[in-house]
Amino acid sequence: MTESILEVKGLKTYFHTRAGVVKAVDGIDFTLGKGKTLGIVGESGSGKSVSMMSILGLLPQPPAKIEGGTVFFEGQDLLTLNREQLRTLRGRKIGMIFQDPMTSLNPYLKVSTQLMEALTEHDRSTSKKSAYERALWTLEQVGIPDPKQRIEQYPHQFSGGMRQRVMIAMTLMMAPEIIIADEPTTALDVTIQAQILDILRNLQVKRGLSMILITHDLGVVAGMSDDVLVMYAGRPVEQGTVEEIFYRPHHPYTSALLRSIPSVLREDQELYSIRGLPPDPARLPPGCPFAPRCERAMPICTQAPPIRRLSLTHTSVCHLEVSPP
Amino acid sequence: MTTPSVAQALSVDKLQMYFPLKQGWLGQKRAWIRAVDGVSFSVGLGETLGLVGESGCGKSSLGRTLIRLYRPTSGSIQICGQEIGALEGESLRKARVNFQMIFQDPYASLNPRMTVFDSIAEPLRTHGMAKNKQELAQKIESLMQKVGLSPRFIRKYPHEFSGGQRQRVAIARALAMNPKVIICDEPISALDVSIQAQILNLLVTLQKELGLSYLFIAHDLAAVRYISSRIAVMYLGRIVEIANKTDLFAGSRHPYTQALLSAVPIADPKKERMRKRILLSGDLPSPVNPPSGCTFHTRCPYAQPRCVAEVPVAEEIGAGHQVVCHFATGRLLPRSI
Amino acid sequence: MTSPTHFPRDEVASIEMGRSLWQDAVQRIRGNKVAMMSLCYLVLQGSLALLAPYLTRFGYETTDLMLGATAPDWVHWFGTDDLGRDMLTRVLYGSRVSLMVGLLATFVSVVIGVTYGAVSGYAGGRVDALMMRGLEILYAMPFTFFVIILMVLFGRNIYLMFIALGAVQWLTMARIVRGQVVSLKTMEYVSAARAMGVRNRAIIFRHILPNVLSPVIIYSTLTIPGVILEEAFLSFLGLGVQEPMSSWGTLIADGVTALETFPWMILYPCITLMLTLVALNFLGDGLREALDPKSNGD
Repeated sequence: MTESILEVKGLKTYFHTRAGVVKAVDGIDFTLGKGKTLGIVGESGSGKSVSMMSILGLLPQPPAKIEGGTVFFEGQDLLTLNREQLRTLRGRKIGMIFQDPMTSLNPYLKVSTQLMEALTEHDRSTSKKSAYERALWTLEQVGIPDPKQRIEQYPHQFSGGMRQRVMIAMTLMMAPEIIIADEPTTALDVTIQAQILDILRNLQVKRGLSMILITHDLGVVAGMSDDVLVMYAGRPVEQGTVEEIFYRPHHPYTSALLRSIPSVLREDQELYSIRGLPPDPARLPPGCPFAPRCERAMPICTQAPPIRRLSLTHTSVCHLEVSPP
Repeated sequence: MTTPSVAQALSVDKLQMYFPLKQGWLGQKRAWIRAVDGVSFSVGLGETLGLVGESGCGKSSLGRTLIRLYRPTSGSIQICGQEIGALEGESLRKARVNFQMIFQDPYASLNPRMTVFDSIAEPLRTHGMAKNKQELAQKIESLMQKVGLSPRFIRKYPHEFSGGQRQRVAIARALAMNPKVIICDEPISALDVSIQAQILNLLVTLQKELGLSYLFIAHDLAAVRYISSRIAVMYLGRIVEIANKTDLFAGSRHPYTQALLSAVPIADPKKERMRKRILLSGDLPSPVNPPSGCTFHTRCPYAQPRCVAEVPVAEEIGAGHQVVCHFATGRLLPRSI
Repeated sequence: MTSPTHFPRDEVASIEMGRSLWQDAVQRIRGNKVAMMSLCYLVLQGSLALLAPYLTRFGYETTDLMLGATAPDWVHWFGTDDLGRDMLTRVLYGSRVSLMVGLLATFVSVVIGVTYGAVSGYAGGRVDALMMRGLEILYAMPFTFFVIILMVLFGRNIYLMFIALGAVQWLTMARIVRGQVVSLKTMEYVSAARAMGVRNRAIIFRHILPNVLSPVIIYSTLTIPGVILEEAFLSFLGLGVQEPMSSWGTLIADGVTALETFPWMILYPCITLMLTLVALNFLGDGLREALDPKSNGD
């Protein structure tokens, strides 16, 4: 087993709204291995983004409230840090890449200014010259052609794929240890997506970065992750190595999800579809939240499902005892 | 694959759609965006043609031109034998019953202030397709059932629905006039993974039941492979390869199609990691000043001097398999320009 | 296909009714207590203004120099001004002018502004450019100058003032509406309607205008107090209501000069004006909410 760099235990984030308490994240545990990639998979509303925002203290509180859990990073519980400590940590040690590179870059500032700011914000001793040089070097690292010329341009002069590279460069300015990428390629075309994923993979190998990749695209997860956490309605449903999840899924949700996506490799005659709709997070059914849509639901599913340990790395939160064929 | 029959549901010939880029103070046009630049294809009755390409390749503009939201710059569009490319006014309005579109974003394609009833009733009322209130309500109910929505929801507003349900409402609305051809413009890309399969299956069922013909526009090659019988690949306003799906996936000949296919992630860790990717360099060029010769030469891993100088023409390399490349049948050599 | 008859009866009944947005809105605003109270207050205020001559024993112009300014008592509920005129009467008569100015001028501005803005935005292209340039030229004209010209040309006339005020207020309204229409025009549901062959008129009335209602209502509720105060300003310049007629604006202007000696002269007109504005705001808010299906709540 590899050394772990980030350990999350029992994280709970609730939103207190007028309509009631929304349990956006209801008890997730995971461990990110050093130099590894953890893929978090789930549909919209599954709590995958909220859990990351909670870890980094990026959620407005109220309405959000972290109700419990611990997040250990370098021997510290991140949930006990104050705002200033978290701010230093973000960027310096943990970098974030968001889905939409246009809204994450300031349209009125040159790329050079924004890149240098990412550095000087955390380290005021850096000279302007060395910051500039580092910015240039980082742009080169993420494969931007003519970095000397491009660095003096504004975000709108970059295409979507190039902007996402700039965003990656920005998180790399401080040499973080963990990168959290929230749907980093969802807004991009497949050929551009392939380029960006390639860059992320290379960087990871070169720098030994640990990465959390949040996505709904199972293909991206299959290619990028070492471990996978599948979430549904704010709860973890299954977790394991990428092989365990893709080849030996235990939870009916995981296997249904895998069966319901068409493949470019096969000519499917019929496509399996999960019936029903994802539940309203404010009105979750009792017990297993997937039960109303589950093909293998049993009367017992209205009670909280147990965590089944299938191997050292593989767990599934389900009443079913054996894996479906 | 359905063999192209004599009667085509949709047939498009040398279609061009240019948009003026700059309108000066006095309205003089200075440049053109060549969104669709000479596209020809046809869709048989009851058939689905998939149309894939990256954003900015003109696939959405093509779709919108086909349902005559724009007036084409030149070329012909025939729907069930009727030329609609140049129709105007009342005759165009009447012809619209034959072709409809399902839009990408079900959050934007339904008027937030209209109930499901009103949304589906609109086309029926507009074309006088219900004699009285009772018939109208009956038709709406039966449409809702067709798309898998309970008529209980008839009085609800779009915001009370999830994305998948909204897309069902939009489909019911498109079906209201009994169209022959439906242009599906990325109908599943805004939906959750577990809902995408539901909508794809619904479209397939409806096609079988009603004999619809689809032009399925998408960037998701896997979904296109599932739903289409033939597939066209579009790059910078032009179709670069068209074939039945088995041929396209097994033996694509255009370097762009190959790159596109190799870039699609596969939900299988071992296969995904063993795959060889053709990484294209750079981004899509501007459709205002497309590159000379073959428009793909700026990114093509096999570009030769000839590709810069000469515009390639469509070459038939198999039954219904056309490739627009100088080296469609020849050997591809490493890039040398 | 299954027959549609297996749904419970009451559901089918409600289906056939097919209530419209407007019916929904009426029902929703009925449930809004604050908005309904505001509406009642405004109706009461309006009827009092209409019935003013029958409600008081005094004339608005009847002076009683012997009496002079007196504090409120059982005879003169709102007191009298320095000329001994009954303040209640003057406030009631003043509300006729002020409410009329507020409603009429706003009505004029809504009608012209929405039409102009919608046409300009929907037509687009050169028509839009020309109409907007025209608007900018009008914007550049000094307002008082414009009113003075009108007064000189057509003589002093209270109705003319209403029109003049409205004719100035519509400019901003037209801009707001045009901006909304331009963005709504590109919405996919408008494209969908066009693709279904819905006629332009129907697109404007069914898809575009209902969706510009919110900003129009909000801006209208801001316009009413705006013109009431503008009228006071014009009257102060001697271009509006003339003595002995009164409006809330002139009463407040008079009251300011006697603020220290006879505070009731400013107190009552101010309270009435304030209550009216508060009621208008609540009503506007309620209307906006009622017309938005999303505000249905749980």
